[in-house]
Amino acid sequence: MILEKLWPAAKVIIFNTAGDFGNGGPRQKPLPGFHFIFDISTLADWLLKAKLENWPRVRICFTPLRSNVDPLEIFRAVCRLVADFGDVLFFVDEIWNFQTSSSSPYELRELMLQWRHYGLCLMWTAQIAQKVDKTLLSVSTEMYVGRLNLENDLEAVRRNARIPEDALAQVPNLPDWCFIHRFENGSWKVERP
Amino acid sequence: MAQKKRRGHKKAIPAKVRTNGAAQVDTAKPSGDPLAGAENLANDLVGSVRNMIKKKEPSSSSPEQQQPGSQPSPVEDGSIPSPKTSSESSDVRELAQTVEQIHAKFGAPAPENPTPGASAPGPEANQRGPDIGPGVVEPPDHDFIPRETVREILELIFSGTGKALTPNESRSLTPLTVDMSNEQGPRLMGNSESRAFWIWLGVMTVFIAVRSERGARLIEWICDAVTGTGKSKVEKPKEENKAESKPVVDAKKASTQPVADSTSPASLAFKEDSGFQVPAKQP
Repeated sequence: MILEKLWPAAKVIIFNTAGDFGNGGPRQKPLPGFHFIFDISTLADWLLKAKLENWPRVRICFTPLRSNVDPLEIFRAVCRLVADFGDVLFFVDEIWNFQTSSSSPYELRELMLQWRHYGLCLMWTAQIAQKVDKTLLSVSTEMYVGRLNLENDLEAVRRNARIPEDALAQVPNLPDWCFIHRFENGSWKVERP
Repeated sequence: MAQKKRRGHKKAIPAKVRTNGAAQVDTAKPSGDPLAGAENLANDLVGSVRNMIKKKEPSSSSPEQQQPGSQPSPVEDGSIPSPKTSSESSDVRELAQTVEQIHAKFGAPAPENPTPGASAPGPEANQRGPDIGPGVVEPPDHDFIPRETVREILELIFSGTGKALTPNESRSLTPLTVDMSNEQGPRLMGNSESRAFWIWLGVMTVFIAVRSERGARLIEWICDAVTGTGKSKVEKPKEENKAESKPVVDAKKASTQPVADSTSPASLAFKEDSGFQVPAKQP
């Protein structure tokens, strides 16, 4: 389902937080046509070159490796790069790693709230809805909600994600791989990949 | 360094004082040549603007001057192509500044030159295929057949002849549709040699199934065994063998005339089961 959303975009940068995406690992989701980068400085060079040479398509999956550097610092640097690069789909896997329910780093806030200025499209995933910044939940135009059982998660979605009540009633009982898709205009339907 | 700065500062101060003083003198004159005063004012204005530009020049041009030095790798010939518009140039400048800051903070990048054909460092670099160029995009590995079509095909296979799958059963096909058909399928079909083999195998299977009754029966038997529809059909080949052997016996019996018939006079009337053809009528 994620790949379906990513594929039509000409320029995609993935922040592969948990290392879920990759073309070699046994438990990794394959990403055909993507270039995998593991170093923030290399990523910066690639984006600068793509900008200078006006590449028609940019597909990069950045996986931060474990190091002494604070992961949050790396994420903020990537956000700055993405904002300066512009006109790109920025996908952040497990975004709750970099925010709390009430706050986000300044760079991410810029992408969340001033995305139109940079021509950005921000996509994100999160296992735990209650850990996602409520600002992000409220400004997201489209939403896919899988099965949630904890009351705090349901409450976060109910209060901030603009999910209709009749759709929320189905959330705790959704089967595996079924999602409630809430569209920008507020309508919704159950979808499965 | 501090002394040099102080000396430079001292030089700058008298210049300011001089210009201000000149302006004051000119404007304080109650009468005189107004054109000369205006000329002095204009000169002062030009001088102050020049000073402003001189002060700002290093900061505004520093990213452009520093780009080639700090980023030698992005462009092959070492020069950075000039952007078309001022907005583009400012965007590139901001990005270059950010890149510089990142290099300063996180260190220089790996020796890899960011060329599209180069491979990225990391544990998976050797496991994946060649990288694509900026303008060349590989077709998607996933969904080379639409998922719904794969699902319908699998539902047809697993539902057998009549019984339709329940929604839960249909949902349980998802791992098969996604993982097997959409992921393993491209891997098997990705190599051109494998693709030729599978195409040949498919064509031959269809050919055998069409031409040979036994082949068709075997395929039908395999399908029945896989889908598990009707165990009676699994034993069908035996019944068919019996059915095949029976006509042979009947034919043998038919070849020998019955005892009663042997004594009865032969009939010259044409019968369809006699094995003889009706002679064509002559005109």
